Amino acid sequence: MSEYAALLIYLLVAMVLAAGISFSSQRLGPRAPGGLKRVTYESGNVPEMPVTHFSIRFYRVAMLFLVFDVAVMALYPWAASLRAFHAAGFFKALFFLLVMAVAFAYVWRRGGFKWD
Amino acid sequence: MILLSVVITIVKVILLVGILMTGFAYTMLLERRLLGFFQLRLGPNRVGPMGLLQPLADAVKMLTKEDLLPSAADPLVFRLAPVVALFAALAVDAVIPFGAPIHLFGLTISLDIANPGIGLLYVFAFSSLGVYGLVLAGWASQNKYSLLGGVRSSAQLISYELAMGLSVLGILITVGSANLETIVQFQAHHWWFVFTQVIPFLVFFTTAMAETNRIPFDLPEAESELVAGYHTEYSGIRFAMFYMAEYINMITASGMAVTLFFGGWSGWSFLPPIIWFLLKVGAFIFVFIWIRATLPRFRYDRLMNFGWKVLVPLAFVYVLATAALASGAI
Repeated sequence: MSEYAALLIYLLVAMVLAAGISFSSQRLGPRAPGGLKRVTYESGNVPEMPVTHFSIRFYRVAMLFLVFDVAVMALYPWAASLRAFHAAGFFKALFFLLVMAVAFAYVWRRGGFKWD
Repeated sequence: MILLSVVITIVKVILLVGILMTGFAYTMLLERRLLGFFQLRLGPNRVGPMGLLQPLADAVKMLTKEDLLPSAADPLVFRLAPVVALFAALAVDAVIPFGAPIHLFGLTISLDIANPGIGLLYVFAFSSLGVYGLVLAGWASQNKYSLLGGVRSSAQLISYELAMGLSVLGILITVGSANLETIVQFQAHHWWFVFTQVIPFLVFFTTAMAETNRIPFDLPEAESELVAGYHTEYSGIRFAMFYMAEYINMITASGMAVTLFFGGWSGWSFLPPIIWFLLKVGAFIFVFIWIRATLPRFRYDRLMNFGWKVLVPLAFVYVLATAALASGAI
């Protein structure tokens, strides 16, 4: 049996179990509608308009993450086969790594990771 | 023959899910008891001998609570979010080898659900999927505290995932494979990676703590500022599901730390491999709880700074050094 078929069975079981638990309380729990229990909690105040906007700063860090994470993911195949490439493989990747390090240093100096 | 392997797989799947669900319940009890002792009180000890039936009582109580849906919430996403969180938490464990392959009736049975060549990538993929549950919960609740908690959890993930990805590169270089079983076999025959990769191990452990949202990185649910963060609006079994996900994530993180850095199931021969694995995972869970009892919570800007400006450069430099040594460039 292939590895991925076994994985698929496991993922299916996990999904059914998670969904089953979530929807079980609809049947098991009591029902007592009414009162204010469905009102959004806001420390006892009457809730204002629901929030849908949040700070743009998160997008900046998210973009940086995407850029660097893709670069790191590109290193995985290189790392796994480095022993076969010997020193030449290291020096070729060193250029790529240095470009990455320079980009990282640049973002750092420009205050890209600042969180204020 | 195919039928037999299907049956074996199904038995393993049921066993693993059962072990994880029981493991979650008793990790939670262990944490409450240990926190009690750390704080010079007893912790829950009334239900059953030494409180051992407490998880059962909690489960019954949670299951029989009213199924509440806040009127402002998005009904589908609100119900789906805990399912995503729990599913992602359960999914990761499928590839962790929790014992040496056993021989039974002339068959070799490996003690994991599957053992794909991309094991390490699979773990990373599913462990970062879990954050969707938290973000969706925060968004669907239409509550300010929840939204802040959800956004924080995603910001935390993107600040720590990078360092985590870098921290295991050294192992990949040394072993030459992303297959977790191969990584464990290598450590069983040579050395445990914790000895040669001390700094990557510390980076990995820190980032794992951040990804499981444990103190000192539990900003998404910081109760002193955000009430309960992303699960403010949740109650009953869905509230419990976020806890299931968190504790299963903690077990997974311990399992991964053991597999990658502490030799997995390898150990001296007077105990079977599976016992060694469980002992090591148990030790890690204890450390997780110990840290929770000891450390205060990070301030938010420091948490982000720490991830980007300390952990990433540290892991990066260590990868360079390992690569230079392993490839024979130095």
